[in-house]
Amino acid sequence: MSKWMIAMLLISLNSYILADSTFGIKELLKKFDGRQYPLRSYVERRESDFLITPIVSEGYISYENNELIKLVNNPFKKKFTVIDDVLIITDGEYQKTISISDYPGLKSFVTVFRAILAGDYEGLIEDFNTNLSGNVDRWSLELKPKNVKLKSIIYEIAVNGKFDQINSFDFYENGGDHIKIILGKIDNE
Amino acid sequence: MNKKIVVKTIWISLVLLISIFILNNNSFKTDITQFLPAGVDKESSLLMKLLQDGPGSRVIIAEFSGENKDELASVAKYMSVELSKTGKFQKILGTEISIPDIDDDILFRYRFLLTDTDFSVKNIKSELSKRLEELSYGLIVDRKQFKRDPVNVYLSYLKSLSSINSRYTYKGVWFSEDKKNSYLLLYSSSSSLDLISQEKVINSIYKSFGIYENKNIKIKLTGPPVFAVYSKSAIQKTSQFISLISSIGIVILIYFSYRSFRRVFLISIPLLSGILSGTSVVLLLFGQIHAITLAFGITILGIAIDYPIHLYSHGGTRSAAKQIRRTLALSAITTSIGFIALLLSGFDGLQQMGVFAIFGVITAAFVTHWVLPEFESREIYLQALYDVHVKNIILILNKIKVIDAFKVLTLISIIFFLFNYPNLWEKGIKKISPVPEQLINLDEQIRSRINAPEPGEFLLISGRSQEQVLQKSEEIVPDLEDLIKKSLLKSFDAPSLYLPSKSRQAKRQENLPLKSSIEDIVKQAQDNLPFQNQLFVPFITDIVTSKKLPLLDYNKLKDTLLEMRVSSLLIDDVNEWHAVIPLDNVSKIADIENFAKIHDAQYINTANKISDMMGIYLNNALVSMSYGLCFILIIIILVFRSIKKVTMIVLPVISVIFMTVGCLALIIGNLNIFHVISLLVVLGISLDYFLYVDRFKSNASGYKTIGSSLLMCSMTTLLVFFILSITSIPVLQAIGQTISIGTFFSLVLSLAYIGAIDQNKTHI
Repeated sequence: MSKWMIAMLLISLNSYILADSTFGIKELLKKFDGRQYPLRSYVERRESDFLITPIVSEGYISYENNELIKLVNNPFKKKFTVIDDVLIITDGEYQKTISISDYPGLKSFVTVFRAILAGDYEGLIEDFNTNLSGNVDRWSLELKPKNVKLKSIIYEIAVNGKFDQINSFDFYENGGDHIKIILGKIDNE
Repeated sequence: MNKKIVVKTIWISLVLLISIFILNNNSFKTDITQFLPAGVDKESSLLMKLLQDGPGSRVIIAEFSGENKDELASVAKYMSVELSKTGKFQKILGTEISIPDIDDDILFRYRFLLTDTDFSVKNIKSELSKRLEELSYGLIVDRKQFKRDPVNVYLSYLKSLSSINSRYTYKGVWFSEDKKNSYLLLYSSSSSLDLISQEKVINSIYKSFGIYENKNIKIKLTGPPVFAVYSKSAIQKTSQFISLISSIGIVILIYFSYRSFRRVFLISIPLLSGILSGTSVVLLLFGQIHAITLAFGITILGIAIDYPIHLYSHGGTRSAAKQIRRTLALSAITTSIGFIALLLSGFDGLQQMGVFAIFGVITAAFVTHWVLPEFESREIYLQALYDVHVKNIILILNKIKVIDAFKVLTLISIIFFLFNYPNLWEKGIKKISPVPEQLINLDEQIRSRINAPEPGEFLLISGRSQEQVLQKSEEIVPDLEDLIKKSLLKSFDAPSLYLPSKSRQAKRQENLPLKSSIEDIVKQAQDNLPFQNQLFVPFITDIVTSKKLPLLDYNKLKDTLLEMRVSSLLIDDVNEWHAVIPLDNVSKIADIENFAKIHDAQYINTANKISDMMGIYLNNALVSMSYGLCFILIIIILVFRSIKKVTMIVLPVISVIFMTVGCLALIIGNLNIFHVISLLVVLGISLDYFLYVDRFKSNASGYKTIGSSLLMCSMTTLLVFFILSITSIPVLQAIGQTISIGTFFSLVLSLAYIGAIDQNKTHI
């Protein structure tokens, strides 16, 4: 190996180490700050001691213009739209509106999703204790609720991703339920 | 021992004794119940009870406004937490509802008796399918509750308790539709009539808001406690201002009239003695004295300052006291009789004020006659300046033929009074409310923004027992729902919607399935659903337990979400129970009145009922006043035993009263109850003046003595009451306007009479 190549390798390694040492939650959220999140497929699996078999659902999810949309295709067809604090459940022609504040489990998902995509560091640390591990190309964000009410339901939320992409969410509930949401590739169709 | 020393010693001892008694019985009240009418019939008494201390009277609405909705949400959340720590609030609504732990919650335990449940396999299966879906959405909040109530009986019931029909939320906080305002509904723990506690409650709200003050967020408060505290503070500030200004004015006036500070002190002795005596008698008779009684009583008692002025106008010595003894006694007695009308007013506070004024006036007259002369060894007179003024004024009055003008104007006033009698009186309470229109408008705006209108109309159902009125309420509910369908009504509320009658609870209990039956139903419902087999055993156990529960009544609702709601709709009134059914947007009153008749209920429109009540109080006050006048007339006849003399005293007094009424009607339009009550003071003042005019006529006193005395007396009275008439508090305004106008007319007419009598004397 030539001296020139060794020097280049050292410079790259050095810059990688330097970049990584400054990689924190604020830097991670900056990558998402205000960006739109077009339609992505998802698979959700809920394991619960209430159930004999887990519930698996799949569909599409998107976050654009402050609207979080979840289109469930299987096992039933439904559309969930979250605008501000309101969840609109659309089932064919029938619509039902509820306040997500009354549902801490759902609220925690919306809060986390929204805060990460909006790059809202303050919003995230208001509700959760955070711990970021890994590096830019493979990171894992652990969130533990601060709020007593939320803490009584959710034990921990783990968000995994790479660069500016979220790959999965893991929700660990105090009652023993575990929900895993795996997001697919961006689908512009 | 010297008589002077004996009298002074007795007086000082009495003052000391009374002062010690007052200090030891320091029972000053600040709640305003005593100044609110008690009601003229059963319905109005109940209405007043509801308005004065019903749960609605304790609600404070806090509105936060600003541009940043996140900040608005966080201020509401922060305030909710901080204020709930103070212990000053029974309940705070507006942020996330904290549902009590189901193990401790009586409503959860009684859910199957509080509401109807469909236990068919089809319904249970449908509900379980919904729960499965909700589980997958993350909509299951409480795992324990999920197992014990998979049919959601409890949650559906709680939703029905929501007090606001439609509300907008953001981050779990109530917002206006445009998201520019967030809200908290604060239920104070203190009685709305305990103004000192309510003031502390309001201060605690502002204190908690302190850290947000500089963050472009504004707070506005409204609701009955806010109005009450504002009124108290406004009255207090105005009273203090008036007391200060008028005291300074009177001191200056008396000082320049006698050029002696000693005289200023001596003139105040009868008034101060009257205050002490009035206070002690009220304490003895009522066990406590209201702060308003003391404040306004002292103002009314201010007319007693005329007594020492009359005494000093006659020289101020013992012989002067002897000279005016009869006139002074007659003036004090007739004035006191005037105040008897206050005893018949129907307002506890005004009765206290009546006792205070009567004993105060009599004491002031007594001290003027017996004590004051003992402080003077030589005669003392008003400054000569008064003589000149009196002479000039009388000359002018005679020149412009004031007496003739009064005769004509009195006649016009009487005719006007007779023709306008029914429409002359203000029966609404808005115009006598010390709450400014600005605050009332703000309240209306805030209530419309959160869709919480002030209930103004309701049906009243009465019965011998709680059970009876709840059953009646249950019977009327389906028919009210029909009225909504017919668009005769927008919505209604009823106690039976929250607390069913025992008979209905017993029926529901009877219809609950047996253990074996519900086990079978749940098993069938779970078929093809992925729930664990034994998951809903707690649900089955609860149904079995519910079959044996003792039935629920109002007493068991303490500290539940229901207590506040039901307590405003179900009233225990000594031997009777009442159910209140608030109605929203009644379109045809006649139809609702008929509906009420058919259902053995009463339709009550709050504004109309209050107006009727005020009308009755006004009539009572007028009747009492007429009785007082008759009684005064009898006393004057008995004392003077001459119809001519009596006519000479009473006719000008009647003229002053009618002229005052006419003038008030001309200036302000309608007269309220406080104008009428103030006419009693005018009666006392004018009687006092014309009794002294009679002294001049009988050559008992000289022209200058009487004229100067009346001028001085009226100046002190006008000074106090004119300031009162220009305040922004309607009640004080009414008192000030009436007494200022009445005193002015009394002075002008009495001086004109003195001039006329003097002319006759000169001619003779």
